[in-house]
Amino acid sequence: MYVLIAGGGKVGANVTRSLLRQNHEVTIIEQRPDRFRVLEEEFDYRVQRGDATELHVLELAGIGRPPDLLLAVTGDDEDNIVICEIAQKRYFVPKVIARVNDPRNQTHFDMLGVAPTVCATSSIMALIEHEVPESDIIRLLQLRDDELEIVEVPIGETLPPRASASSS
Amino acid sequence: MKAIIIGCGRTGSSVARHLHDAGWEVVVIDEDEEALPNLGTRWPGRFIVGHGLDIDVLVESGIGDADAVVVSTDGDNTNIVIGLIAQRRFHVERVVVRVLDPARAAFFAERGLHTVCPTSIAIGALTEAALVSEMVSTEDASI
Repeated sequence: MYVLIAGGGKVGANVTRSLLRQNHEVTIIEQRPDRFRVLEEEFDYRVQRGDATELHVLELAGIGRPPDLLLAVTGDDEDNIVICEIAQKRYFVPKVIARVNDPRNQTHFDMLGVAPTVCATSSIMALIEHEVPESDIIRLLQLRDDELEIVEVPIGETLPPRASASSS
Repeated sequence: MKAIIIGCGRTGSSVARHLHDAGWEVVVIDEDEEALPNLGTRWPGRFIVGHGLDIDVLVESGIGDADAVVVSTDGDNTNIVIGLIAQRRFHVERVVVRVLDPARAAFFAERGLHTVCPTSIAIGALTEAALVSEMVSTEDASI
């Protein structure tokens, strides 16, 4: 598949590397000249220099094809939201994934329909909850759209075996 | 009438003063408290130090019952996202957003956001001024 990646920091560069290893076609967009040079040495013509929130930069990177997937993984949440809005609504990119840098901005991504999202801080908090649980119910997966979640509840030997449904 | 101005630079602070002079209740939000002097020596309205994307700050400003929100920070994408939040989350009737990039201003205008693009305005005014000088010199030549 063809993947467009906005943002060539550690996340963008490593995802590019992994996708290329899986024989996918990738273009990565990076604005900063120093980062661009380093990326270009490794990824050659697959790097597009410029601001990924500018339409003509996205077009040079091939958003018009459109790509099967766009990743907005810059270090700026507003930029990531705007990139996804443009990709989805103007170029009809079928699938976008956005990075949330500040978990307090998650609500903005959700409200504007930018999904799915990945947030390192939230993932770490979930891991903390999993590794050092404060209660017996361990949250495994949050299904945001349906307001459902998958949880882990250890069943002790003293609990009587019976089927029951529970809701929180 | 009540307005929230987000971004208190040259543009935002002037808009705030104009609206205040017109009798509006004006609340100004800026990340930097040093932006306050931009409003003049005795700003009678409220000034909140905080980020325009911070829901608590927006609620504190009273955005829920604002008649207008003007977003004019120094970042196009920040302005766009704050504008969308004001419109869709707080249902403010009149949201005006400054966007310097003409292409992005046009795209989000198509999507229902009231954008004002100083770049496009300058391009229009400068081109018009140049064409007027051409007309003047043509008139000169015909005399």
